[in-house]
Amino acid sequence: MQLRIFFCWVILTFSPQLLSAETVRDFYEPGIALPEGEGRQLVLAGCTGCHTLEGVPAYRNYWGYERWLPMVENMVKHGAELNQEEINVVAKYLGKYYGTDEIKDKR
Amino acid sequence: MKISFTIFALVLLVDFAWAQQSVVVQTNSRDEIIHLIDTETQAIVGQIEGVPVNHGAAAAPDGSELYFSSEAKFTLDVVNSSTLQIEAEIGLSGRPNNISIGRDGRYVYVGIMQEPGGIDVIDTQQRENVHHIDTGSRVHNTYVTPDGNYLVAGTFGGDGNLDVFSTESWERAFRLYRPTTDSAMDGIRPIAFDTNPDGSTKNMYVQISNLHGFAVVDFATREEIDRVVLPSIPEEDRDPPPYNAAPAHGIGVAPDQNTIWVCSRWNGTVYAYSLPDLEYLGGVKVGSHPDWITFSPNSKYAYAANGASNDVSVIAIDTLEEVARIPVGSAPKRNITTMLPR
Repeated sequence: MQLRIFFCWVILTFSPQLLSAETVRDFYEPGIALPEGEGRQLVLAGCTGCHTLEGVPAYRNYWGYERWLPMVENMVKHGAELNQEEINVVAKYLGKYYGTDEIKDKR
Repeated sequence: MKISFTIFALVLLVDFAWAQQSVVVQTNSRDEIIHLIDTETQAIVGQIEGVPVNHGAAAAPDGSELYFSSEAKFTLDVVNSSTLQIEAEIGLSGRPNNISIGRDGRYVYVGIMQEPGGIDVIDTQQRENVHHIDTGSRVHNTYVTPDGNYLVAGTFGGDGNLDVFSTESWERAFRLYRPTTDSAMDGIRPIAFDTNPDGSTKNMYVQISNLHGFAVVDFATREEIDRVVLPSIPEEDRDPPPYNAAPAHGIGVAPDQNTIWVCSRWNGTVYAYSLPDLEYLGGVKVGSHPDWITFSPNSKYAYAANGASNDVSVIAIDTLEEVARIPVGSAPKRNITTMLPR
């Protein structure tokens, strides 16, 4: 019984942090409203540990996946915790929602 | 006859001075716009548009053209100073950072931050990217020494993060500061220079990653001769992070060479030291995250770009007081002072 109460306490105490990087203390507020889409959570978890995302929209009409990819790879060298597959997902998300890829898809 | 000539010369001088206007060119690193601030009135007198994520700025010696690197477009943009319109977009080898221009205005040197890095050399007459200097490192800032003889790069990675080249041959003259860790943020940040009476470069004042201060490097002997640490304040009083491994970023020697000014991101303060003695003169509380600094040509005012509060602090050099704060674009960083045609 006591063990069950202990597990309930652990889940109630830590589950919000486990579920969403947005709520983890020491992460920056993104500063922008990220659109829903594949990669959104990875962007929040991988990028906001070091900085806000306020600078991202400035690239909206200029960078596609090809340019976001080396930027994200560079960020990993600066400490972002993303594996190669996650790097690709993040670069695709940024290229689509903060780049030129969505525009290209519509052509 | 003599008096007539003197009056004629004076009229010419006044006419020339009136024909030019001293401005601070203020980049905005999260914006597409660049602001021009008059150093007499401290008012914004012009705006350049169409340079997204603008990073570096440089001016032709005669003020006829301005040059800006765009991290979003991977270009060096050439702007006509009279019309404030972009006349050319010159392609670069990768994502650029800061730029500098030679004394005669022929070449602009663009630091390339994207791997493999290096420096793109842009011919301003041909408006072409004509050469690439392989530094073996990612280049953050480039400078041309006041005598025009050397190109200096502050870099990350590679074998030496303060990398010096001849502007005649573009061959390496020397390099200092090997990276001390594997961190991608380990490197050389902004650099300032002063000169000997004959105009040759005397010292380099070098900001280094994670140093809340600067090192003094004797240009002739190529040795670090001093290191200055800025005043400390309690951690809870600091400006909020991130600091990007650069607690102090932004340094400049006033044109009269009597003082050196250093930005502290940690403290939201710009600190002044006398030259050549490096005696501490005081600090001026400015906006959040002062990131870069430039001066009025008469050494009356310093202009600190506050990257996190989106404004520029105007500091009276004599009294060490902030006399104005000018709202600009998003994340203002690099700034320069130049004379433009009225």
